[in-house]
Amino acid sequence: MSELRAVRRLRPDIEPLDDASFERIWSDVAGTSASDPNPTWSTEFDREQTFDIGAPPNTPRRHRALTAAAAALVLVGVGAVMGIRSLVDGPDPTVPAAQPPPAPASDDSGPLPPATVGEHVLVLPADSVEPTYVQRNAALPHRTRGLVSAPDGSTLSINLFENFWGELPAEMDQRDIGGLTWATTVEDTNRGYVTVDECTMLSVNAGPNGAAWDTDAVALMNSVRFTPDSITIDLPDGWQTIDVGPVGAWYSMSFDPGIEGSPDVTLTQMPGSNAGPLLADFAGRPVTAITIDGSPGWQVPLDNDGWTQTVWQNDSGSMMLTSKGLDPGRIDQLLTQLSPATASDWDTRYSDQDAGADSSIADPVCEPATLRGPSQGT
Amino acid sequence: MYVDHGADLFRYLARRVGRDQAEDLLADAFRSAIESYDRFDPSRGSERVWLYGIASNVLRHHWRREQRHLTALQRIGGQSATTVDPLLTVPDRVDAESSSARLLQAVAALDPTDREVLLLRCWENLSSSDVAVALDMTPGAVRTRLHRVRAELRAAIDNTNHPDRRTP
Repeated sequence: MSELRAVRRLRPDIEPLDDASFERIWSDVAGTSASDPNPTWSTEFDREQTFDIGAPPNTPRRHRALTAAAAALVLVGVGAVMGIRSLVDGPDPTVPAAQPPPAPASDDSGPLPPATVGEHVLVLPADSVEPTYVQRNAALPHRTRGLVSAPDGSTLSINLFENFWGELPAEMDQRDIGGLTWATTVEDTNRGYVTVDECTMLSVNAGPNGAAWDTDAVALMNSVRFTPDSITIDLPDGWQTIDVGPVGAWYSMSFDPGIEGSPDVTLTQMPGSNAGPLLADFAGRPVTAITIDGSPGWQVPLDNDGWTQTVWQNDSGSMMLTSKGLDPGRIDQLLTQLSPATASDWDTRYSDQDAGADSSIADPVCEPATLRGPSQGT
Repeated sequence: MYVDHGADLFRYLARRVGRDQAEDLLADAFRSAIESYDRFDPSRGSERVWLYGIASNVLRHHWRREQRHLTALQRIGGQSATTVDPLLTVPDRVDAESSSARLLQAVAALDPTDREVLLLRCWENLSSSDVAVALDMTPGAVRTRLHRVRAELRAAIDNTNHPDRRTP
């Protein structure tokens, strides 16, 4: 057993702090209540967050299809297994975001295969490579995320959250755009906009330090239409969908890539899913289209120190590599050192060191009859 | 932000000082975060990581206070005055000769910053990059420290696995 794994096993279990104690601590410090009468709002759902999906909700809720239409057409089917493909035109790596590379030759408009035990849907390093961090996360069954680009190459993410209930708090800065009421928020400097309908929330995120009601954001919001059965985003001329897709289960691990001069890399794999959910975190950042392992990909700089995020999509699903100083050629070289594996292989090799999913965030259950009152539900 | 991350911070603090003191230290961490929020730089890392850095500082100050207190007691009563993370002293729940106890002893004997790097990484599941941000060091320094820590712990584990090499 590795030293780090041995220390992990010694981690004391701590019962969570009860709400009353937290409230008392917070009140002592801040002089205000930590409780909020309104539903919690988040305009950017962190990929690190996971939901306790537990038993599927059996309360009434509405499934809708999300359609983003433009020169690049993306269609999301909503159901137990969802898949999408971007149908886009030729690559131009010199143009950030606006020109994603073509889909792989095997690509069609059909759904990607779901991640199931027994299929080779993951890649893993050799047995001799010991990861320094391992975490497997459950799929988020009611979430669809993706990234779109404006004509100037700036990027915005869209996030559909079904089975969501709530109303826009009155104190939020709100505007009516395209027949919908949108509210703007800032979290961690990220500018976001949200609109809600029965059991559905849609957010648009402009990224760090975005000005409120920026022209691009308003244009995107103005292209959104809710109908009883679908949500359509009819992108304006010059806009492109980089990728959109449902949030599937994902597997992350950090390890030494064995490439001289390269620090540990972190590889995140989301089998059976498109790259949209992985790309959605990069709203407001420059995204450069590249090719990785013969598949369409995108690269995003993380800092000025050479760290980058590289996302790509192949027949098995989507992947993201956090690395420093690795160009696409060296990433291809790294990939040749990885071997196909199944989810069972992952469990066999890493279950004892998997950091595990954070189940502290409950999947909300939409109960429109309760929310709207008896007249709506009967 | 505080509500979102408070639970994690509390667990982190409680693992190091126990539940009772963790509540006080959580309040200290919140107070410090509120006072210094204008210095939070999102380009360097998330709020969660930033809060871990604050909590780590709070822990360090806490132990310094404890050390001063114990030193004062020592002057008065001639008692020994040493202090480390309470949870890293060999706990009663494990056999002092067990591999767990020996590993905990080895962790307790680490340089305090090395120990912080190790436990943020292994107990709080922060990435190496996040640990670097939280402790205001470079990712390279974190990796160097982890490499050193692993070597020291490996030696401790080897001793455990080879009874003839155990220290008395």
